[in-house]
Amino acid sequence: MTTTAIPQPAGGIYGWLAATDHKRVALMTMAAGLLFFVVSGVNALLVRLELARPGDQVLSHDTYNEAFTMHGAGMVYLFVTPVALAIGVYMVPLQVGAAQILAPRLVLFGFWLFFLGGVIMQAAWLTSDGPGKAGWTAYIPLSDAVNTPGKGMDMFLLGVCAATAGALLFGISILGTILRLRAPGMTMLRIPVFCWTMLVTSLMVVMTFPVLITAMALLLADRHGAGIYDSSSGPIAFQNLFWFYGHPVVYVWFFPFLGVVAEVVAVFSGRRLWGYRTLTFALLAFTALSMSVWAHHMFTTGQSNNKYFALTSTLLLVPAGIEYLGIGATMWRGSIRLSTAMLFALAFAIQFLIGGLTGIMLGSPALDYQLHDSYFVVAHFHYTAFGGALFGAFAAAYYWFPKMTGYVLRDGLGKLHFWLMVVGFNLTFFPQFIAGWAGMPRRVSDYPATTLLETVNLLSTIGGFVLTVAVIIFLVNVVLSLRDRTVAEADPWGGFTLEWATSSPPPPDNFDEPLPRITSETPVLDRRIGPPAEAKA
Amino acid sequence: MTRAWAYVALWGVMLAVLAIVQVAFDLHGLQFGLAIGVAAVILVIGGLQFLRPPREGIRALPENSYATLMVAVGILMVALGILFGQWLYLIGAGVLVLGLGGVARELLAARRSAG
Repeated sequence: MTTTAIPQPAGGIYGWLAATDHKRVALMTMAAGLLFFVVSGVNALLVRLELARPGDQVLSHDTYNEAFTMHGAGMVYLFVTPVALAIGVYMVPLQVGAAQILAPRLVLFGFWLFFLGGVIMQAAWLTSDGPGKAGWTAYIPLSDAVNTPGKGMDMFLLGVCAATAGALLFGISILGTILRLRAPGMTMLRIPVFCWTMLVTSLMVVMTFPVLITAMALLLADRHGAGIYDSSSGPIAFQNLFWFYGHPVVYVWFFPFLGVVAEVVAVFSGRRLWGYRTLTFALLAFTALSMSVWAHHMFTTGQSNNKYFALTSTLLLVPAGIEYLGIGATMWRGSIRLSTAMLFALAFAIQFLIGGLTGIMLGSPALDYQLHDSYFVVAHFHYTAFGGALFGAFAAAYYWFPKMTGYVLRDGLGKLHFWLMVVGFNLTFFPQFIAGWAGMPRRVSDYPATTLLETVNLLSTIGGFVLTVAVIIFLVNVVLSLRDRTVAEADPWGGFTLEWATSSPPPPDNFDEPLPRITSETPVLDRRIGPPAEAKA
Repeated sequence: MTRAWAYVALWGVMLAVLAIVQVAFDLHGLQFGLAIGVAAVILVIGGLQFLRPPREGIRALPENSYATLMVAVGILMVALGILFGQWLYLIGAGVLVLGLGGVARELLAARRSAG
């Protein structure tokens, strides 16, 4: 595929708002996602302040419900999901050697749906009834017009639909780019591992996001008298539709960052990814299983195929183990450089492992009956979503910031950010395992005044503020690095894949120079040291 | 290069097998329907990819598309109009029509420049 020469994009804000350049749309999405992350983080801090001690502290029960709902929904619909996909929107065309993303207008359209959807969701705070307060899951009957009346909940649902539709369009474009716009010579078994993770992520997005949009749109209609979920099986039908999206979306946050981590570990170990072909097929199996476990969230309803979903949930261990083996074996006897990106990648692997193993516990119906809706689930969820996805996102930030901006983030501040994140994260969320094990339910603003629960909740709140300091340090690092600039070379890390074969930041049509010959999944490394033995053969 | 369809189809087959395994357990209609339905859609996508090889040739790309932005704003104004009243609905419909017209104009211009 060739394209016409693209004129240099206009500067200033007008050059950005309607830009069809995938890189600009991705950067706008990341910036908007960061904004929503800060807003949702403030909600989390309010929740933690309320729980620092038993009894009522700073929020009424109603406002507490709004705060934890808008925290969860903001993080899920407006931060992690769109940002994970935005990294793909930026990097996939570069890594497959394409001049543009497939359907650039669709991506721009997706950004505005996502951003305006987020604005609508947050604007619901201004309504007299407040925003959504039925949890990010919006379970029926909690979210119906009787239990949560008012326009705020309607705006919440509309915002979720719009933001998810935007993310869906990102997924469609990424999928099409990988399938249809690869450079000559780049067969499917020569695309970088990050593109493989984006391919399987996009497949999940394309299949599951329309189900959520449908479920939420039907709920909106239901609140205005349509009576769709009115039957006795209505709430269970909604849960099935919701979790058909809700579980795969956890993997939409995981797989892109697994790809990032695999790239970072390979580059900073100075070795090609071990077992590339095995890992790609394990990825396919991993994602197929990920699409087949959703009803383990419904074990306790008595309306689910528990044995089947326990089996598939446990089987996830096999491909996950293969992925971990690949990452570990890549580092084995490598020349490891402990850059900030590498540190975040290693923390991702360890912390997600804790999230994954506790997930296997929750995948057992017998244990799930004990732990369901407890703080144990909250801790497990955050070890995957925060300990995994967010640490992966920061690995991506430190790794690709020079490529995206042309400037390097400061390493000293980066390492301070990393260690505060590790301490803050584990201080916040590990005590929640103990609280859950002790029987503390989730989504409550008060708890019994026992020594154990008081201690673990106070520790958790202190951890939340340490995390806040860590995030502030990251933001300061970004501002300082953009103000007092250290110019990045085209390939500051000794990268392996095609994005490092172009300038930092890349030109509008991505590549000014001819692409290197593509004989493996690491064409830039091949140009430096020659192709791997199997490619020569 | 042309075998991308095979990987999509392979994934569809994996989903289909996992869906069919449900039959060996206490089958739940909606859960089975969702799983097998998605497997079928993926197999169709794989088939379409097989039938439509990657495009070759020159494609004109616009630098900016304010019309696309207007389409998004128009759609969301229409949706909000359902909650807040007909006035917003009608303004949104106007913005949407203008946006769609703009996108059509961009596409025609791109076709002319390619020709």
